[in-house]
Amino acid sequence: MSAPVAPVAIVTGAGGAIGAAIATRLAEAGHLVVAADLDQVGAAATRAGITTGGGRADACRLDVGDQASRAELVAGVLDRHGRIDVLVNCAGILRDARIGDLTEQTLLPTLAVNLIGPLSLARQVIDPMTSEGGGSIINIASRAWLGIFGSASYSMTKGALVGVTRSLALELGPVGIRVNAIAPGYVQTPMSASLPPQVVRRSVNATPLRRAGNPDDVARLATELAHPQSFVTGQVIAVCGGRTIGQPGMAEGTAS
Amino acid sequence: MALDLARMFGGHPIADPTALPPARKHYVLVPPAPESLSLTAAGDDALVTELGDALRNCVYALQRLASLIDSVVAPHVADADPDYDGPIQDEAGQDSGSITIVLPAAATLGEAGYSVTSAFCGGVLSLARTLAIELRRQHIRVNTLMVDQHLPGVVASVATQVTALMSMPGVTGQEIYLADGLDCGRIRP
Repeated sequence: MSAPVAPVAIVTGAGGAIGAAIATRLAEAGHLVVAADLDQVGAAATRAGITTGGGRADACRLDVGDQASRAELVAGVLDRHGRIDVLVNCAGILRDARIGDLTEQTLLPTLAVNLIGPLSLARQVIDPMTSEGGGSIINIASRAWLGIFGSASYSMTKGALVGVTRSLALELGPVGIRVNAIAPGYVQTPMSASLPPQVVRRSVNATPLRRAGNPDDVARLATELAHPQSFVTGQVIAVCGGRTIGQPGMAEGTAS
Repeated sequence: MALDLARMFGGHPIADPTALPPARKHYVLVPPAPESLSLTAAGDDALVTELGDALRNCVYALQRLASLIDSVVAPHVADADPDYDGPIQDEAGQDSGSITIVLPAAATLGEAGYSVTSAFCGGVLSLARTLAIELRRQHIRVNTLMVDQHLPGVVASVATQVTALMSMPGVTGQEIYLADGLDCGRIRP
């Protein structure tokens, strides 16, 4: 008797904090997770964490900005596991400048990793997902898509992910493929640790829930969006402690 | 559904640095969006040339336009902290100028078969939001128009709206749809 077929989920950037949390939650939900990352040590650590906990996982090297590496990942997953049900485009880089200081040095890698790579992977999973009767593509965008100081190229690529999410959801809904975006606010990770402390302080102070996000906040939503029975598509969902609705305050007389 | 806004309204080719427009106070940018391109039909090379290059050209065009507008604000004020939430005009009530970006409404809202075009529009929309935040300290206003190209008298409507935005002190970071209402009931990006 063979083991029941598990849905297969590719998570890019799975060596990073948010990607690792998403991979772990998806494995808990019964997915066979392919943890892909440029950082092979990180991807292997994510796989080890999952398999130690009794889940199923595989680790792959992926340079998301490289065409050959992307094709190799998709071919390898289909070869080893036979299907693709979920793609989480989580790999991304935060490298930016104000508009006047933007050069090719910032723009080219940001476009390649944050936009061209995720779109290329999305295109490559459409056929395998269609053969399985559907699937879920989850693009990890950022609150920056609503505009953020000093972040012209990062916010542009995240806005582009939101744009493609909406049209692709309209196009692929009839074949059962759902496409959504998650827009995290400030999440404490090694990547966001490069932000200046005053930026972090300002962010938490401007957050109604008065805390930074953690990777699992994003992972729980991603797991729901990956669920095959989900009725959610074409959405960009903010995981930001309420930051996107405005500045928090305290009504007169309620302060304790 | 032809995405022919750039041709419809004319203007300077933005990819060519020798085609710098003359210094003015107000600019309208109609970035050429990739024509009706779906992701399912776009190979990796097309993604780089049709989408990546188009977005880069748009960044550089906006970079140049912002630098062409003479700021009424002294540089040390303009470089003030990222929290700048002060006025966007000087004591005489003058702003430095404005940039209005025009995008196709359908692809911005989302449309089956237009996913790469929508990626471009989404990217430019977010770029415009960031620029509105960044340039307000230089008293430069940035607004975006989403235009349904099939509106009757669309060119005149756009001209009217653009002209109005030029003379609206304080109005920046706004997104205005010029459309026929068939988009009611849809969430805007």
